[in-house]
Amino acid sequence: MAPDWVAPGDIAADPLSDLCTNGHQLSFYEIDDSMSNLDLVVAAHAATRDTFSNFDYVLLERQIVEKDFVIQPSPGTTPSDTANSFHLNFSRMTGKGVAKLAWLMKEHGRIERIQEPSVRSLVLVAVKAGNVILDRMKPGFAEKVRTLLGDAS
Amino acid sequence: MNERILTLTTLRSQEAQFGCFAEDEAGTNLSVAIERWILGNAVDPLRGVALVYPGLVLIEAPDTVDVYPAATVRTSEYRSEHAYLFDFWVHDLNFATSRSSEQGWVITSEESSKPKHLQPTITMRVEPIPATQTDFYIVHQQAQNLFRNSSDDISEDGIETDFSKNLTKLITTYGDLAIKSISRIILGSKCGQVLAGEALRWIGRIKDPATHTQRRWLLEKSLNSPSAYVRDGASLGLVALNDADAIPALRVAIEIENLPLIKKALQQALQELEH
Repeated sequence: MAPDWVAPGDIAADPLSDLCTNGHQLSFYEIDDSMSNLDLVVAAHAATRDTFSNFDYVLLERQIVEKDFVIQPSPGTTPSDTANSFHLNFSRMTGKGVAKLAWLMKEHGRIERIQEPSVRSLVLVAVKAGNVILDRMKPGFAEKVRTLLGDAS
Repeated sequence: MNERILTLTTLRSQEAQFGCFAEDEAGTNLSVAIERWILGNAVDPLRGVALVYPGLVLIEAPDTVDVYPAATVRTSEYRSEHAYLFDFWVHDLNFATSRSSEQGWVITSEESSKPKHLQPTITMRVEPIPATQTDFYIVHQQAQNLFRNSSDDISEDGIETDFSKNLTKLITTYGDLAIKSISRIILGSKCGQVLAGEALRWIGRIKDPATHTQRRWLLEKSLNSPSAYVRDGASLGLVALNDADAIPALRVAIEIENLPLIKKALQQALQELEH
């Protein structure tokens, strides 16, 4: 979606707003090669929101980023302890670093979207299995999930 | 020449709106809406005749003749089960003198001549309506303020913001009037494209059966937006709305979409609705 005035090798500025650092860090999750933990990570992250929504993400090979960035394991803050164990921080991020990461995502990333109904199913399955803790979700969203699980049972 | 009834009201201050409802010769229900927005100029209630030519709308009233050439009139149409609705959006409103270089005619408020070489397809009588248009004006002001005062930044999916909360409140409070106003803002590109995309996502999510059809109409129309943000927001809104009646519009949008990322998003949305 880059405008036609963006030169080859460069990126548009707007997408950088998706890469907001906090304490010079950016939050990521490590997905294993078999993608077996992807559904749980999606469910756990989606469970931090206010409502069900689509889930957009970018997959990058670790080898593409590890030589340019400081990657440190750091527990996530989702309502799933298991998903939190897959969380990483890209630390010591600089302006150039953010721009480089955005460029790597554009060139090498796999952009994916999970539509809202599938996200809903993933969250419900994870909550039902005890992998996402309902009481650690936002109260309004937790209530929606409770209602749906009640309706389903 | 088929006579049609055109209703007209002057809003409280600076905006005017035309609308008409009629049946065609075959007896099929035909609903025609013509809207005129006059910004910065109060307009007295009018009685007159509106003539709709191909690509041209002529409003003739006792003291004025306004002609909107094709370049200033954007038309759209959609079919519903019982109606065939045309919308005309008039963008350039401050001309007492109208000119079409293509057709080679000029009409001023002093001249009441019509472009004689054109035959109207529909003629309508203008009558004032005591309807709820003042309500519309109030709602439109609120909607304009909401979009004007909200940031055109990307916000995280599924996270409620003041904008999403107020948008939901506006729609659930004012129903179709709010959707009509929001449609003017989004389809008329009167707000930032990121904000429009955000609005469309929430418009699909709102649980309000009373506005379901109108919301679907807006989402379908937004699939044709020149902005990729708006088209993407519309596809997400349609998935949230979960109405299989939107499938034909999505199929058309996929056909004409030329951005691979958006095409993929549209195809995903179609798959969801076909389930």
